[in-house]
Amino acid sequence: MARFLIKRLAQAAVVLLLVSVIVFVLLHMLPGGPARAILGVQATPQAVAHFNHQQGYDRSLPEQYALYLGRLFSGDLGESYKLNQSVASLLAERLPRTALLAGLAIALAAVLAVPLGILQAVRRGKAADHVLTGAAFLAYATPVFFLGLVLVLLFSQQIPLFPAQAPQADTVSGILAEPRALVLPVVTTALGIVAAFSRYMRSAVLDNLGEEYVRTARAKGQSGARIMVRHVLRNALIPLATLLGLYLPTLFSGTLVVESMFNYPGMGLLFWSAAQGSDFPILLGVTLVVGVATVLGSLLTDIAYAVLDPRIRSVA
Amino acid sequence: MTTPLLSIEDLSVEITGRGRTVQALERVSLDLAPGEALGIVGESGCGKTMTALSVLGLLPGGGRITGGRIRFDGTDLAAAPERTLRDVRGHTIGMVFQDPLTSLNPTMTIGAQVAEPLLLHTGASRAAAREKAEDMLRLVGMPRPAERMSHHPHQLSGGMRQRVAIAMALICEPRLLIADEPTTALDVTTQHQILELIDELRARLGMAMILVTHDLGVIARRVDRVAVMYGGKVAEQAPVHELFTAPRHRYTQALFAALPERAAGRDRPLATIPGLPPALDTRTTGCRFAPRCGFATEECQEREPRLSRSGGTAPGHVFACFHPAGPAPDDDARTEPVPLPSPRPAARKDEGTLLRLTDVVKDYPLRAGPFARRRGSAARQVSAVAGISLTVRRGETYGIVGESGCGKSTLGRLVVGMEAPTSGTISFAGRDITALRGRELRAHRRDIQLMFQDSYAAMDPRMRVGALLREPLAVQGIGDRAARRDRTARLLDDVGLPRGAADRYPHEFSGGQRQRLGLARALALNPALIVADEPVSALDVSVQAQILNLMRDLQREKGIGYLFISHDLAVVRHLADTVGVMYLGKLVETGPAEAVLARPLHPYTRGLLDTVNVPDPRVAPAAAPLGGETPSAAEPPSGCRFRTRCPLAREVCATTEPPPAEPATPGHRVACHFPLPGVASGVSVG
Amino acid sequence: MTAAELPVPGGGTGAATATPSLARRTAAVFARNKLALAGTVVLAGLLALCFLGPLFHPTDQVHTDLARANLAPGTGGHLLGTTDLGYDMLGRLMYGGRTSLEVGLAAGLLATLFGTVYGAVAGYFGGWLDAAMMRITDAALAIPALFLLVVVAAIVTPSKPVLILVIASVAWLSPARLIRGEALALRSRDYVHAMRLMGGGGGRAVFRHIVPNALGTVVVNATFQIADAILYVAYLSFLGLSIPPPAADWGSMLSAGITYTQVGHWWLIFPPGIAIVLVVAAFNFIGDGLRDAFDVRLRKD
Repeated sequence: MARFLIKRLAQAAVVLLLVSVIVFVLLHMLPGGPARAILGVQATPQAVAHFNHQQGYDRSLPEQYALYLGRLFSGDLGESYKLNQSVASLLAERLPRTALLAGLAIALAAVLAVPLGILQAVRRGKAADHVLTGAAFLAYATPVFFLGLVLVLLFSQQIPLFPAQAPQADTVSGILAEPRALVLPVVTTALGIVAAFSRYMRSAVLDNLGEEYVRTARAKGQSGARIMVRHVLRNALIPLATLLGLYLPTLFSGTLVVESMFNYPGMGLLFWSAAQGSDFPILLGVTLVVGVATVLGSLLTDIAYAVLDPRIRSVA
Repeated sequence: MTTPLLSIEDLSVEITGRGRTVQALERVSLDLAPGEALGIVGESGCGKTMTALSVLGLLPGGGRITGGRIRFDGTDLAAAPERTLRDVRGHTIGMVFQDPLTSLNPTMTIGAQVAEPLLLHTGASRAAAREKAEDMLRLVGMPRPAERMSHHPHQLSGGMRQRVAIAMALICEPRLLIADEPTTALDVTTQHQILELIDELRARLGMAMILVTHDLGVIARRVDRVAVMYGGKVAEQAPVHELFTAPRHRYTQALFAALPERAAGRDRPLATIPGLPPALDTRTTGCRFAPRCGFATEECQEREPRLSRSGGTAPGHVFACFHPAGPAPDDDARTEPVPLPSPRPAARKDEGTLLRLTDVVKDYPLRAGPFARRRGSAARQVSAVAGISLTVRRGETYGIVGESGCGKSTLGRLVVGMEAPTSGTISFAGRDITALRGRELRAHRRDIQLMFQDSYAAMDPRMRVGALLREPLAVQGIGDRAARRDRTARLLDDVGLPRGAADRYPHEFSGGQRQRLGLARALALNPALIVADEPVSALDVSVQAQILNLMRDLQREKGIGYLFISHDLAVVRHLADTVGVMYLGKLVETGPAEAVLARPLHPYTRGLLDTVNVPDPRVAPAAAPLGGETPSAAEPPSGCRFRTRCPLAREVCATTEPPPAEPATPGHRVACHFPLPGVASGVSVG
Repeated sequence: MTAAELPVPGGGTGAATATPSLARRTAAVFARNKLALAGTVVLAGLLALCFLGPLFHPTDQVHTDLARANLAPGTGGHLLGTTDLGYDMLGRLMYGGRTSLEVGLAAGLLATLFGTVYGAVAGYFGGWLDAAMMRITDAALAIPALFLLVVVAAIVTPSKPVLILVIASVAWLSPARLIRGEALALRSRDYVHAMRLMGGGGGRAVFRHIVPNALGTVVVNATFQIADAILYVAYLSFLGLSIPPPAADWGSMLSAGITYTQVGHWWLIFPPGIAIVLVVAAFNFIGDGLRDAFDVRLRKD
């Protein structure tokens, strides 16, 4: 276990460094370089030269990267030149809101996908399985924004159940105080990943039902339902942790679209507005943070998997 | 006669899947008295496992009982609802499956799994169930049972897992135990321990047993009666002694004759059964065995023989055959006196050394990668092959015997050059091949070829057989297109396959046919040596005999040498001129096959021979079978590696590694401080 | 010679019974898959609509015509109505579909090509090269594709070729990882060992055994990549970062229509939305059918 942890942590550290390299490269791809991006297109050549010298952009690339990394470690992600605020403080404000949206969506997706997957596996080849398989394929093929749009049309305009705008509160508790306004954004985000999760559950349960240990359990006199709960579910759910890690990027992409659709004041909306206004410090800052969150998230799910699965827990 | 505990009457089972229906069982009838042990034997696909699974209503998906009754204790299980079946399963009938790894739940503790049937069937409290489970683990010979309760299956060895499975099946003290190939996945010595355990527990609990197996050796001393199945039907049923001494059905007779143990002599071919068992997806008339039977007449094709007794047959002996073997004990297969004066292969006259291994060592690092080192010590390693020296002459068959993990397959890989030795030299025809590179190495490859255990995996599934057989020629740049085609046709002739096979894909062939193809491809370059790694271990007895005969015939024709690697003593005994016995990376005994296998000098060889399940109920069980389990090759014992399991071990064995010596006859070498006197083993395998 | 086992393939009377080639078996299995066939038909229909449709239904998709804006379907000879700028909706669906399909196909294929080569190199050579190459893909995959796409699209001004490059530059990562695993597995197959033991070299291993056996995986993955690329185009357009107007694609059409949903102009969003779903689902069905076909053909039936 200790060996596994060390190895996995080292791997995550390398990937984190590489994420910062990618963002650094993007920074240098900006039109006119970082100076233009930060000072704006109207900056004079003198101002640009001065900025470049001051920020160390006239040094060699490795040196620049070292400086960049140093700034990252001190929490300096740059200044937004549209919002007159540091990117770090903007993110500190927005990150918890996006985490809330993503967390609720994951919870909802799991609550929907696990029973649906089991149902499909148990009813394999029957009508329910075919219908749900078809639905999963369609859900898979539907862009999140189209899905959101249809939901808004149905449940906000045709039948005015939920507002089409997300809660606009500043704090997490403020957002939670408007549960009705949260419904459509959360459901839209969740449906984006529920298809993949239920497909996984279906095949995992089917695989496990075909395992010989299930036959052994039957040979002991266990009933079908108890075999599902006591034997199969545990074996099928443990790898779901890893799947969760793999789907974090998809989930974050989903929140980007959903936040911009429903005007949910999270990181995605910040990112989207920055993209419209070419606010590069924000774009790169958010990209970095989302990348780091994904790496740490999948690190956590991998550790959870190792803790839950006795085969890994005791061997390593 | 007492009321039977279990009575299967006219049981028929159909399995539907992938768009076809297979008649897996047809009117099978079997009786089992309380406390009695019944063996069900047959080759793969004969319906033996389906019979066992139907009793508990555990048929696989798509399977259903289409007729007949299964009376157990007054209830018809074939017609019983699921609830009734659940009450029986694990309670009054326990079941043990073949693979002890996959048949245990990987994420549940041993304790919870063993206790589960008690909680289901007896209403015992959790604490009581745990206590009983621990007792049960102790009973099945699990060391430190209290500690093992909280372990998971992957932390146990194969033999220990099977003990857990047995504990689970017996915890409710059932009246019937059904064991489906319970030892097939285990090593010989472990196999023996598990069978002994089952015997002992059966006597203790007074239960009846159904033992399902393909291995006639396993069944010989463990059951009272045997049913032989073929093509979904019972072909013959008899008390075990009757069946082994005087089989009546022509299939049973042929099955026995195909055993390498029953071969008349090393220089006589094994009896074989031509063809394959029926596929069972088309209804056939007549006897199922007729197409493969040398005694079949028109009657056999048209009418189906019924199970019946006939004159001169002991009570309880029934068979379904119109032209049975004679009722007298048919011992000719075993008592054939002298082997025929055999024409030794021509190449044997030149008995030059072909392959010589000197102090060959192969170590594998335990963990690769930058984080391999731990606790500051040097990287740990597994010594798979730990200093082996041996010589194979031209045209000779050198048999390597050993249990799994002894390093025999690694040895084979080193010889063919799939891996490089850590130290030591391998020379072929006088040249050190470990130093060969580039063009020379490529040219050398012609001389040694490998025959894989699973020939199918060794053939590109996208290539037709013709292309597969031409590939070695193309790689070596031998001949033009026409010449290669010609050679392919002759190779197919050589291995007894029709030339039309060249246009087929490997997946269209059966297991035995694929081994023929593997042999044909190995022969394509006219090698001087073929390394054969367990080439028949996945085959049914009758097909195994065909391949062994083929290998031997080709050797005589072409003067090829074989390095034959196998866990099966009987097979090695039949084929090999010289035998090397491996234990934990070392050759503990080498010498002429007759000497090593008849008068073993090393206690391990003796132990192996004693634990082999001889297919003869008259052979008395060995007094002191090999106990314990093979230690890990990562931490081999000091001195003699076998000392931890050796009944003769003394202090010197722990401190000094025994050097090879020839205490009995020249050429018969043993690495042991206290070699056996070299008298004939209590059990003969030939 | 010992008697061969009886029912031997190829034991028939002539070459007439030779097993059909793998390609034909694959096609036969694919043709039996109803969903895959449906996907093929839908895809063919959409391709015909977008590329042949304008021949039968020519429209002006460059000049706005505010006089004919926001017409409901069926009015004024506009089968699907008109947009807020007076473009014929059906014509625009065809016109926008061309962009979506062209960019999706090109980006998907480009990503598969590059990813395959990258993954094959990493998987075949293994060791430190593999570790280094895979950490790079890990890092790039850690940044959600959409974020990466948005940043790149914000830096450059998209045109069709640029958009193709942008999407391919992000989409190659998953085929790279997939093919790397495949190459790693194939490299250690027994049939590759067997060929090596005959004296064959690395070139033969790669071109005769590894590539042909990996081909199925690559082809299947390409269909999924195309589906994903079409979605990426839609997402970027929806976020307003695609090719600027008057060019159009299904995503930007949908985006433009959102404002009018409150006033009930459903025809502005449903046709492009449904078109996206149909084409992506069609590619997924085809990919699934192909996967089964490649899988099944090597089994006895």
